Amino acid sequence: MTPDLTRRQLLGVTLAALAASSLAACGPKGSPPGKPGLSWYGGDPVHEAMQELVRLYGSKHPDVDVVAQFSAFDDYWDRLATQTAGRSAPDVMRMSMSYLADYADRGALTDLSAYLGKTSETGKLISIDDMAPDIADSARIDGAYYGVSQSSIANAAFVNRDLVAALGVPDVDESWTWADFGTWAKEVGAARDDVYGSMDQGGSLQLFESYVREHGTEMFTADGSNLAFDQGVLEEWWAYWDDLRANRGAPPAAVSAEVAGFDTWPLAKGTTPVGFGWVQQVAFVQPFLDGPLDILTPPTAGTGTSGLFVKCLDFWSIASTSSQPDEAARIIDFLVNDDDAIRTLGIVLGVPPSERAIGLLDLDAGSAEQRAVDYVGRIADVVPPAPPAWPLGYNELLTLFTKLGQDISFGEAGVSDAATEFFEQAARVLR
Amino acid sequence: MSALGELRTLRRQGAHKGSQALSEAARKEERAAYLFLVPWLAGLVLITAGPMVASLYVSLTDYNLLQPPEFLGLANYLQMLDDERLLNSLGVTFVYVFVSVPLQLAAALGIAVVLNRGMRGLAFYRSVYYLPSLLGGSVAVAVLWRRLFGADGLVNQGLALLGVHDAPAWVADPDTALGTLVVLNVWTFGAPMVIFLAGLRQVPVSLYEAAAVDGAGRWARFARITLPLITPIIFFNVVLQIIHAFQAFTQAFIVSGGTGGPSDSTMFFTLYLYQTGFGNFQMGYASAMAWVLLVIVAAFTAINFWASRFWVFYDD
Repeated sequence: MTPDLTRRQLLGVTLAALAASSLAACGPKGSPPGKPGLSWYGGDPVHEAMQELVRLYGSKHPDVDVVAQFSAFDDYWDRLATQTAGRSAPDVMRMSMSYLADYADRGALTDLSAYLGKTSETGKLISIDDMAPDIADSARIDGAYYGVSQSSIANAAFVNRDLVAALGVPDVDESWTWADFGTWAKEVGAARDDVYGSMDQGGSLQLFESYVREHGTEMFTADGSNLAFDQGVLEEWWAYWDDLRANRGAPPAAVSAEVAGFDTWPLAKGTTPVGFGWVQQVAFVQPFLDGPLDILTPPTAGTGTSGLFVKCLDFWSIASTSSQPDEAARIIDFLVNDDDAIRTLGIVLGVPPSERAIGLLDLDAGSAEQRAVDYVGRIADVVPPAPPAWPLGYNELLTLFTKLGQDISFGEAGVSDAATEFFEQAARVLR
Repeated sequence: MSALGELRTLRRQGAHKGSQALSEAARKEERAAYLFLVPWLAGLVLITAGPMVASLYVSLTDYNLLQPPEFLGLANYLQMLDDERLLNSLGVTFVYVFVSVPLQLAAALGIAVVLNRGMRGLAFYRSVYYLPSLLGGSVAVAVLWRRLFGADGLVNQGLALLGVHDAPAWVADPDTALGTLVVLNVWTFGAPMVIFLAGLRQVPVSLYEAAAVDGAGRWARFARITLPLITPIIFFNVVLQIIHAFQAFTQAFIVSGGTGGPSDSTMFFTLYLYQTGFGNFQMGYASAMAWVLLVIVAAFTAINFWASRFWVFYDD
């Protein structure tokens, strides 16, 4: 049979096919009923625990078939951005503080105000009555709640006391100021030629935020439209770490530039007795060391003002395009409040966000996990209130800060030029 | 493309033959051909041309992926002139292209000439040397590279055996990180090598015999016979590898852990484009960058074709 199509018919068919496919791309695309999507980022421990939770939810709600999607942190965001642009974001997604404002300010997340409340209130699907206010409010932007907190975390210093003792340098405690710490770190570096004082934090915007807060301001203005601190504070910070690098108080630039996974941390390799990070990271570094890592509050300016804060940096959020937000809310409530879910998770997502949840955990006394939990509990009531959610563009500044820190450490840029550059770029990125 | 050529031939045949009935049959056949081409045309329009037109439009807008694009005109293109990181990434890319491509082609030609001397086990050696170009662009090899050239990597362990103890951490030092990527690209010389081998086989043996009779040495034969006769192959490889090198992404992405670091020393244009689009949600700017890359690649290809008339020798 010879197909007898005229050119016009052919054109018609092609256009119709094109129209159909483009229409399909524009229509509402949410998940099919009974099959809500749930996505998260993390390493293998997170994937294992979360998959167990998905099974658990399925056994408690046989009519719901949760569709799980998960990947490593960096890959997660490429995928989520593309999915969101295509209106097919998963109903429930793990959201990081680094991206929260990027998504929330652009209408990609549901305001959860209508769902949050006390267990006793009717119609409130997600109970947050166990959470401390700083934690419950972590994802609050302009009065709206864009995420439910998964954990409470804080900056911390990790100290390998065995190495300190072996080096024969004085012991350290939480009374340390940045000045004391610098002197001590150089002393450590002088004690042995394969050891340096501290992991290099010059490129860490997150520890720098605590440093800024010691100087009396927040990092960002309240509306997130600009930096709130003086350029001199940043120059001081970078000059401080430059001095440490020059005097063996911190490793040379190329050593720090190689740091990637926890196994490559100089602290984990025994190259420095001190490292810094978010408190739950102690559990990821500890396996590489024989002796226990002690958790201390980072050094302070010595003015009596602490810059530390306890906050949540990872959330469960609901996509604004979700076709079943109620089911999504029930899933979130399960993830943060169900006793079995809490026990299964342990601290793989961080120290749980409420006292009740912490009480349900059965951690070994003296384990790194237990020490992390203790640290958060110990400082929660003494540190000043947490800063507001990080503003739109935070992620871009985070990358830039690390890059400029490297420029300085490799001698590619001077401290004040780099600081000027950071302020100029921040003015462009923040709105 | 050959299908279109056949179509044209068909049409010409139809025009030649005056008979109404035959031309009708040819036309039917032509329609059938179009029908069979529909999947390919649909693919071209939906998967290549469509997205390209869309990205050209997006490049003129402020588009954060999550909200509808806002029209800006040429602002994205103008902003690039002030973007120091972008200009730096162009510099890094140019160094990469213009250092690694000549080295890679020289290695490919050298090995091809050696293999062409008809040694035993040629097929085996050809496969061995071709293997890296299959693996070189892969994630696994980039991960391996990071290990090889790390501070405690195999390369430095080897150097330590030779008595060199203060070797740098190659991938973590801005002065050497790009060099490791160049080495990685040179290592993947297998694909152009196979093409060179095919070209070398085409050179008539009688020419070498005649030259040998005239007393030409090995080098003279290579320079006066081999090189001129394979210039079309060299040209082909130069064009292809330059385009390929401009588009390099995976190696830098993996070796630098996605950062382009240390200190932007491995920040390829493509990597900066990717960070801008997916990390910073500036898809409009990223699209504009993609078009600039296209223009750069097209310009270099055009220059290559123009310059080829001065040095490429066609036998036929």
